[in-house]
Amino acid sequence: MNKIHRKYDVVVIGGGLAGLTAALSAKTHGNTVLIITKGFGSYYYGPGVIDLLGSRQGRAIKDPWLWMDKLPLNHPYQILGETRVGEAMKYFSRQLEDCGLSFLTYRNGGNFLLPTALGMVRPTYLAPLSLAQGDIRQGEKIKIFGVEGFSNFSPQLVATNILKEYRRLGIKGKADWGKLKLEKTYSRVISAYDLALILDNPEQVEEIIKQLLSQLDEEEKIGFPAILGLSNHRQVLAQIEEGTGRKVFEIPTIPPSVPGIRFHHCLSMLLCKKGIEYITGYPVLDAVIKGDEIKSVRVATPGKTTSIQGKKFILATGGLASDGLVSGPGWVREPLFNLPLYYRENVETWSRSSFWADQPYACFGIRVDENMYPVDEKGRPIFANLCAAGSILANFDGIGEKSTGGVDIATGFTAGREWGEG
Amino acid sequence: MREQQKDTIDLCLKCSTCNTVCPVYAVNPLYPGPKFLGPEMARLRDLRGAEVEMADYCIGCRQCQLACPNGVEIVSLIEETKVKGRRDKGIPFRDRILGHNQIVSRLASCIPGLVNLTLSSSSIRGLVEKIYGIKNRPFPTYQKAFSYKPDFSQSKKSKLKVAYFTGCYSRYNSPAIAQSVVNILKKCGVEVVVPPQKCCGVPLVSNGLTDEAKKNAEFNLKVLSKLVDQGYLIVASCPSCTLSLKQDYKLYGFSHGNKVASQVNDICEFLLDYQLVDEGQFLPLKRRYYYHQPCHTKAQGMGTPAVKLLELIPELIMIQGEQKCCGQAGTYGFKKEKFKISAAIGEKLFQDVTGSNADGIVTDCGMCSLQLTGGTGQKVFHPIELLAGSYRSSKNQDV
Repeated sequence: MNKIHRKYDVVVIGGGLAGLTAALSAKTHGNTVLIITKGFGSYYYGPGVIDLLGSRQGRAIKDPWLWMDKLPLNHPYQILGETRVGEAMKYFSRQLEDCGLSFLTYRNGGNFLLPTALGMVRPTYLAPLSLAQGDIRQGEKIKIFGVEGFSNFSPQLVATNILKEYRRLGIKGKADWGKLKLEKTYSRVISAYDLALILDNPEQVEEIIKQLLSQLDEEEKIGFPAILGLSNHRQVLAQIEEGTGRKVFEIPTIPPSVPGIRFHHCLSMLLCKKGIEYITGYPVLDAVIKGDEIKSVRVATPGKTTSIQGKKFILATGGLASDGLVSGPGWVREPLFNLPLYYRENVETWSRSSFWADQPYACFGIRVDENMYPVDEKGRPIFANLCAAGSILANFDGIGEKSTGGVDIATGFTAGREWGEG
Repeated sequence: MREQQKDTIDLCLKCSTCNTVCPVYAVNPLYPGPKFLGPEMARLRDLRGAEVEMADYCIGCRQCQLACPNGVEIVSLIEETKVKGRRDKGIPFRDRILGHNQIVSRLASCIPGLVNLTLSSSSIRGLVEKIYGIKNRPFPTYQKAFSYKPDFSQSKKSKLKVAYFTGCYSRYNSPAIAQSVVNILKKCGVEVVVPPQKCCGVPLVSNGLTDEAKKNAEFNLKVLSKLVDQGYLIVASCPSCTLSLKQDYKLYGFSHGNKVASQVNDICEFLLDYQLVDEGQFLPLKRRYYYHQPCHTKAQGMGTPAVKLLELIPELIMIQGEQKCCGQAGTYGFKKEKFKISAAIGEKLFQDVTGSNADGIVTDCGMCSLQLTGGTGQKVFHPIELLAGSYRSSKNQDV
C-alpha cells in the first residue's frame, strides 16, 4: 500500500485564525489535514483576544448576542445563525483549554471592557485570564506599572486615561501609576517580547515583587504591559499575585504582542497534538481545476513548485491586507481560484474620508452559503470541494465592528466541520 | 542588490514576528535581530560608518523568513549585511579554515585515524582554541572518503536515474550515509551516478568567502545541468546542500540555476514522491526515536518526508516535538566567541529530547547530529541509514 505524502484529505490554505480553526474542526482520527501558509499571520501584532462583536455605529457593545440579529442579513453571522456561532465559540474555547490556555468569557456572556495601552477601553469577547482580570468595570483602586527603558508603554498615560474612562462610565475607582527597574541593560530597543523573556526567570520576578511592594499602598489590583513571561507565564502570574497579595492584569502592547505569541504557541501545540501538518514560508501560487473540482494547488517552494493534492480545500487567505484578495483602482480579484466577488466598481465609493467611519472596501470579498461554499450572485456554489472562511468573506467590516476573531472562528469551524463530517 | 530583493524591503510591516522566532535573539541580548539586520540595515548599509559586527552572529537558520507574514526576503538581506561587514573587516584565518571545510575534510580523510586521534585530544584542541579561536569541543570524526563506481550493467533499463550530490559530511565524515543512499536507490531500481562536485557553498558563504562559493556554484551547476539534460534527477542527503541547490544557486544568476533547482530533491522527499518504497519492504524495528527537523529542512517547505518514510517501518515509533533549532548552525558552533550562544540555543531542544525518553535521535543534518550527540549523549541516525538498514529487497518475502 503506497502512501503518497503530498496527498491530503483536507488542505487548508492560510494559517490565520480562520485557517487554524478550520483545520482543527476538520481533523478526525482517520483523515489527513494540511495547513499551508505563507507566514505566521497576524497573531503577533494582535492583542491576543477574540472579538465577537464589539462595536455598533462607533459605540462599544456590551452584549454581542443582543445585536447579532440586527446585523444585515448577508453578514456571515446571519448566514450561520446565532446558534451555530455560539456552538463555534464554545468549540474554540474547549480547544484552548485542551492546551492549557483558558480563554474566559465575561459573566452573563457579554463583552469584556479591557484597558488598552493608551488607557482607552476595548470591548472583547474571549480573553485569557491575565488580560480578562483587567476589566475596568470592577471599579477598583488600580496601579499601572511601566518599566524603565521600555518606551512603548507609558503607565502615566494609561492611568490618566483610565481615570477619565471611569468618570465617563460612572465607575468608582482610582488609577495610579509607577515604574519598575530591570537590571539588564540592552543595546537593542526593548520590546515586550524581550521583557517577557526576562520575566520567565523566577529570580527576576522576585526582583519585581520587591520593587512592587515598596510602591504599593491600598491598591487592590496591579496592571502591567503584557510582559509577564512566555513559557512560564502561568507561574509568573501566580508568583506576583502571591508575592504582592493583589490581583494582576496585563495590557497588550504594540507588536510584538506577547499575548499574541502565547496564543499562537498554544494553537501550534494543538495542531501538533492532533496530527495536523503545518508548512509555513511559501505561498500557494495557483490551482489545478477540473470542472467544478479542485484537484491540487501549487506551492512556491524552493527549487520546484510543490503540487499538493486534496480531496477538499478550505480557502482562508485573508482579505485585502494579506493578499488573499488583490486589488487595483476599480477592481478586486481572488488570485488563487478566481472566485466571483462582491465589490463596488466605482473606486470613488470604496472609502469614506473620515478615518473612523465605516469603510465600504472592508466589506469586499467572497460570498458564501450557510455551509461556507463560495457562491455566485445567484447563490450557486462555484466548486464542489472548496469552502472559504475568515477575512476573505464579504459583507462584514471586522475592524469597524470588532468582529474579526469571531468571524474567523465561526466560519472556520463551519468550513472545517463540513469536511470533517464528510 | 537585486531589484526584487530591494522591493521586499518595503513589505516589512515592522511587526517583529521575525525577531520572536530568531533563536539567537532569544538567547543573546546584544543581538539586534533579523528585523534590524535585514530590512532596516538594507536602508542604512550604504551610509558611511554603518558597520554591523553583530550581523556575523546570525546563524543562517532562515526561520525569520518562514515566519514573515508579508514575504520580506530577510535571509538574503541579512546575507548582504554580513558580507559588507566581512569585506570591511577582512576574514580571519580561522574562518578561512572553517569555510574551506571541503579541503580540510578531504585532507583529513586521507589520514583519518591520525586526524581523529589528534582531534580527540582536549589539550591539542585547547591549544588550537588559544591560537585560532576554534572552540575546544568535540569535533566530527573523519573516515576514508566515500567512493562509488556506477554499475551500468543492470539488465533492465531503470526508469529513474539520479545524480547524487553527497555533500561533504556524508563523503568525508559519515560515508555510511552516502552508502545507504546508494544502496537503497539501487535496490529500488534507480540508476545512480555520483558526479564530480564541489562544496555546495554554505560554509563558504557563512564565513564570507562568497566569491569562492560562487565559483563552486558555477562548477556544480555545469556538471549537474549536463546530467539534467540527460534525464537525471538530483538527490542530496544533507539539508543544507539541498537547500543551497534548490534556492541559493538560483540567486547567482547563472543560466542553469533554475533548471537544475527544479530537479533537486531531498533523498527522503524523492523516495516518497516517486513512491519507490512501501510498508511491506521493511523489517520491523522496535524502537522509539526522536525526530529532529533541521532548520534547513524546514526551510524547504516540504514538511518532514523523513518521518513519513520512517513510519513505514513496522514497530518503529517516531516522536516529534516542537521543532526547535539545535544551535550548531554549521561552522558557527565551532567558533570560540559563538559557542556559548550555540549551546544556549540548543538547551531547550536537548531538554525536550531527554524528556521524551527516546532510544535515540534521527535527523537529516550532520551538524545537527554532532550538536545533539554532544547535548544529549545519545546516538543520532540519518533517516536513510535506518531505512537502508531495515530494507529487504523482495516485496514477497515474509518476515
